[in-house]
Amino acid sequence: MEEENADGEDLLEVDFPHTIFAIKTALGHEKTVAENLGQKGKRKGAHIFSIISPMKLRGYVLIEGEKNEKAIEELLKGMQYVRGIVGGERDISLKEIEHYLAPKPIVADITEGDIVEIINGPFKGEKARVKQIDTGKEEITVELFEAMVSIPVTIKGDSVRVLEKEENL
Amino acid sequence: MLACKKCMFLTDQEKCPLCDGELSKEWQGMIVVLDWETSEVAAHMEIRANGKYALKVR
Ligand SMILES: [Zn+2]
Repeated sequence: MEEENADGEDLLEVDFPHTIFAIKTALGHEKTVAENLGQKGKRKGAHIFSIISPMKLRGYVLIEGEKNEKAIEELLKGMQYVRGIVGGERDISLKEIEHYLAPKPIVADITEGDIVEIINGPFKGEKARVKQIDTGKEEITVELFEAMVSIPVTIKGDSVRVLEKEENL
Repeated sequence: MLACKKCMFLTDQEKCPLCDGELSKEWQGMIVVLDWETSEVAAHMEIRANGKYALKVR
């Protein structure tokens, strides 16, 4: 059952400034909250522009919309996994959340010739030299130091730790 | 839900309905865009259609 706005209620319509703020959610339900809020927001015509659930921000969801605390509180009311607005709707700038939006590719810090330590998988603990980098697939091809025969091995970019940069050698 | 490798759009279809791109099940993070024309975040991410997107796709 939806409540319809009474005629004339919007006579004193205010232009609210735009903002980004955080809401607290139950751990592990961030995406569910974002999806549900998206549906509810659309249904209710809420003045929300986007809802963001960054992978590294556990227990929070970011909302971009009009700075209208009453309307947001009304929208969040009764929503599963929602624990409320953080810090009295503190404004967050786009700059502050940019790093969540375009995470740097995993292999960005690795260059050919670097010496790395493999930190997981069957070659864990082995040292190797980087031979090739596939930024798109986020994979690197390395040559293990300890191997009897030097066979190139292709592994995920996040399974190594850079020990020495090529330019410092 | 799968994510488009090119535009990160999330979909249950076989191909990306936005750009026809290849889909991946390895994705993380999410942005739900309700008003891409007003959203600064959508503009920053060069998103030009409402919907759900991943923030990272492998
Ligand atoms: Zn696409």
